[in-house]
Amino acid sequence: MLKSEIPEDQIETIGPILNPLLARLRAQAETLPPQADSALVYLLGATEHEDGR
Amino acid sequence: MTILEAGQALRSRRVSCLELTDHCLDQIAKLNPRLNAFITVTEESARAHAQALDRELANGRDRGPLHGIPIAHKDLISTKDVRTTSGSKLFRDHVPTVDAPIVEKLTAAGAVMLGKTGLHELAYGVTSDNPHFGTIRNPRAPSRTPGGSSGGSGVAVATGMAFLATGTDTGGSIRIPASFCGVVGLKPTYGLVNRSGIQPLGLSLDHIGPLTRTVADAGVALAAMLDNAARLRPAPGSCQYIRIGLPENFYFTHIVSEVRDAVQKAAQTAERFGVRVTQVKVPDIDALNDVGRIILLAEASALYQPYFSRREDFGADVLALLDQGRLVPATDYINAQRIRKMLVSEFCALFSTIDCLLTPTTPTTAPLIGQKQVELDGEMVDTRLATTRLVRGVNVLGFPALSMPCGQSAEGLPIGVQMIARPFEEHLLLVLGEALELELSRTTRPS
Repeated sequence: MLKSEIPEDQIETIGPILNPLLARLRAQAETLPPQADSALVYLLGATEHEDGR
Repeated sequence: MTILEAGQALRSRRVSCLELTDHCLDQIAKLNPRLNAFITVTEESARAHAQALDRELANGRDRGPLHGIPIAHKDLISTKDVRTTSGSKLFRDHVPTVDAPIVEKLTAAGAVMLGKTGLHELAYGVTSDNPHFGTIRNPRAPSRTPGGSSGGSGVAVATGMAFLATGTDTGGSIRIPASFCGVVGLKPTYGLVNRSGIQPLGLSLDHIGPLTRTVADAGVALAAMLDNAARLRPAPGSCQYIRIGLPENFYFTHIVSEVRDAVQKAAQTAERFGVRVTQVKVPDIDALNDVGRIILLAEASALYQPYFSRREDFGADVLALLDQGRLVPATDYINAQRIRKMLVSEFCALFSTIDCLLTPTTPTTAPLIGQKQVELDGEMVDTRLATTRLVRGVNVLGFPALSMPCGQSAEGLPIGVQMIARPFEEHLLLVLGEALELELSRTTRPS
């Protein structure tokens, strides 16, 4: 793993914000059926006109 | 004056394109030093372009409803030979060599670009309090935020500095300034408007759309922005066929009473002109918002990874979010995209019984500049999370949403109502919005 470039004091402030968010998401994810697909698959069709610029 | 009224005045020779442009430039000269809506004003090229468009009209060439209409572009949309900063120190001197397709299309439709509007740094925030280009102020109350990230666009349209301004919306960034500034903001269906040449933030959440003074003007703007209008579903024949769902959960809790009352009054007003309004239970919006936050944190940090060594070039709030995003595991990002698909299915099921969901746009009117928390139902809530609470989820769904004024607070601050429809049903939102705007104007003058 690459060494984190985020200063320690910043990491301490991130935990109380990010950890509860990740915990809620993981609780939701546990309810997903194994075959549940990703939204990214269907979003691809919406960007068909991207011309790379 | 609206775009449609200006068009009539142009075609009856009561005003010229140059006079419209000069009027807007005068407004910018008068108000921008105080409100800071524009980062760059392209006065010389705007006047030259307006004169060329006057000559075209005189010679019988009419490009349509945007011919000669002065507009502004959010300063993360590429404009050839005009600096495009994205509100960031990283791109302070960036001068694109080509126009973004949306700029090409609006220019081809006859719009006159007046300049580039300010924004929250990298469009990653809702206050437009920018550490590199200054604080943008709400025209109704300059001690208050105009919202963001498209704050300069909201201010420009609200004050008559421009008839139309482009915006981007990744978690509410068109609809929030529309709500706080008292203008109309349309976030089209995901992917409907070409986002090439526009600085991204959240690749699967970014949307492009207009801010205007009226709903009809938003329709004119959207028509000019589209690559393929055939993707849109036809407008309903009459408002009487539209079924509005009024949420009985989530959207009317944790909001200030003035906002709740104004939006419920808007629903009652819609009923008066024949729309059917029913109470509905909406799927889990808290989960939808969590999914949206995880996806945006990860996608924004992935985009800005090449710049992480330049920590001093980011404002504190944006840097904090980028650091948070770097600590989101890939597994959680992927699961957020899986939950997203499930929630989209739940909303599609809800929309089999209604055509439109009617909600407040923001739970409060514009907070004070620098205000860290707002009080909602006796509880202090982080201003950014409160302000995005009712709009962020729509970006996760990718559905179109329109915000329009529906009243004002006792302090005279605008209140916005949000209408959400099925994908590609922008015409339904515009028909409903126009009817509501007309009916509300009989009792309220929002702008």
